[in-house]
Amino acid sequence: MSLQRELTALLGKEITLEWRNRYAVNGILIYVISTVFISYLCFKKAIDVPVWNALFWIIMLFAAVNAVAKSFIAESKGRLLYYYSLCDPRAVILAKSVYNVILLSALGLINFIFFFLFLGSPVVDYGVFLSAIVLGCTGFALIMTMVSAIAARAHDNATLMAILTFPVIIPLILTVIKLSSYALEGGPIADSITQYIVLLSAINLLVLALAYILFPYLWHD
Amino acid sequence: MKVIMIITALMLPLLSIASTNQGDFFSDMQATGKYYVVVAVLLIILVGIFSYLIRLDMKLTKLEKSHKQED
Amino acid sequence: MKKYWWKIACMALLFYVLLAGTFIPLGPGISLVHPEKVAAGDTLTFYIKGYNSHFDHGTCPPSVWFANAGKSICAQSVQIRNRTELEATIAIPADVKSRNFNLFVNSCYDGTMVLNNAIMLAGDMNNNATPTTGCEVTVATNSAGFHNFPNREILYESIRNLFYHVPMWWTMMLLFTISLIYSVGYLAGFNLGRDRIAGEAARVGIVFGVLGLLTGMVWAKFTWGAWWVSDVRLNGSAATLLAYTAYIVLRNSMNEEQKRARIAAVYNIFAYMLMLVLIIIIPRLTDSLHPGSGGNPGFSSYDLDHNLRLVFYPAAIGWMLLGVWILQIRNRKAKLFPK
Repeated sequence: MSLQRELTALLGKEITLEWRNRYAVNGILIYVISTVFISYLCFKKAIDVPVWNALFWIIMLFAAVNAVAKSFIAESKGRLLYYYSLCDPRAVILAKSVYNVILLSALGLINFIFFFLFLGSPVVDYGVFLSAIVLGCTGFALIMTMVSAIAARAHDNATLMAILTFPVIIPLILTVIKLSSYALEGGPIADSITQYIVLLSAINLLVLALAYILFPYLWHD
Repeated sequence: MKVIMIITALMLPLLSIASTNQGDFFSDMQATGKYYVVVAVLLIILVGIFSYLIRLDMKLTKLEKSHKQED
Repeated sequence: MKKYWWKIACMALLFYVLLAGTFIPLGPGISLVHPEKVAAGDTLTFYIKGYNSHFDHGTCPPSVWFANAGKSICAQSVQIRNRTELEATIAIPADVKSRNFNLFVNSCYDGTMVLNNAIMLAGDMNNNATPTTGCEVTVATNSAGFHNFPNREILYESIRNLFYHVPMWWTMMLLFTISLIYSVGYLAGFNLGRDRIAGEAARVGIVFGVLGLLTGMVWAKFTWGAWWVSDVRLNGSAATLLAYTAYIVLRNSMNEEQKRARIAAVYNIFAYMLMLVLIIIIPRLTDSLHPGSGGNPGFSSYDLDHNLRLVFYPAAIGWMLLGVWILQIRNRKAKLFPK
């Protein structure tokens, strides 16, 4: 089987599995909604723009950790062994990454909708904000998929996942907060938007390349 | 006993620093061009590296002892 | 003896740094001027205190002036008290355009010394005053050819921390880079000895990183006024330390040697690459309090004085050799007594 066909087959499997029980997606959805609602109850719309921005990405970060953590940990050992005998490890990591990119981008949009409903929206430039969501969530998904693979191989729980994720996510979250601040009202003067979009894309490409090269080493025993 | 005496003698100049009150200390620091910041930084580094080395030394001693018992 | 040459070099370099860094004096500068508050139209006698200055030396008497909004206000008379003390009588014109005055003292021996925002205007600015013209200023360059460290405002003597604080970060980065190289090396041949070095290098690197952080905090408190300031460099180094602490936690969470080595190596490479982005690329896009930052954090743009360089580079090499030395001892210990 070629890499591409393995990839589509594995991706299809991920989506079907998710669709069948809808347990994970629903759980994460409720997580996001309730966090935004609690923020609303705490802030009562008296929230200024930088805080809105920071809160949006922090909620996004924690929701993403919860959403992605299960991607390798939830798979049973027998099933992982089964994939191992069947396909190229690079197809496995690519399929998981693509699935998580789709999942988190959707989650980002849903998060924004609920922010819009409860806390209002200071967004002026929707194009820039949307590209920040897509690029940021892609980055979250790529980094966390790789880290969750590492944490799963270390036989450990969600704590290890969080400890390993937060240091490596810092460059990404700093850049994405900066980019999305350009899209908000009263944000800095838009002189270097392209620079940040290029940087985010470069980080995403770097992580993808690292995952592609390094994952096979995690895989075999 | 001798060792303690030598250490006390070495400590004596430090007493003069301790006896100057806080306000004097910081205004003096301004007058001496913040030289005490350099002293503080050097002290941190030396104390840090030495305590690390002492810990390493103690660990090694323990390992060597348990190694001898195994033989 | 041949095996020890770099350890001897390490000690020699650090002794040199300690001696040169302690005994080379700071260049001349102004530390104090009194009174600090003036009103427009006053004629006052200012007491000026120099730091390491030589007011009574040189072929010409020192000249004193204030710069206010691009205009020079010269002293009517200057009296030399001694090597470090001056008295200058200066008339503040009625038509000052800015609240802040920079003080300049120029002498043939010391060159030009500046104290920025030396005095402040206390009363209101009079916009209707008859305009006056500034005086002509002649600048003499220093003739003595000093071998001093530069005397910078705010930093003063603490500029010497450059030889102790900055090399901590260099040593940390060197040790983390060694760790990365041995991790890559491990994945290339699955040799457990390389994994051992990678782990030990990360551990020693963390020690130097913590020392860099603590010394930086003390230095920041007495120059920028706070233990911790939000700065890209600071946050970058703190994140790097966190990442390697996470690396050690990951290592400790596994017992099986080969598996631990492989998984830790993967995380090491992954984290190091992202930290490179954080330390090298992001500071170029943001402003930093650290000198030379904001567009270009490179060392060439740090107007690192020639005399500072003569001590700084030996310091960096000396501390890095010390780091490698400690790494070597730890590695030998780990080799003899595997856990």
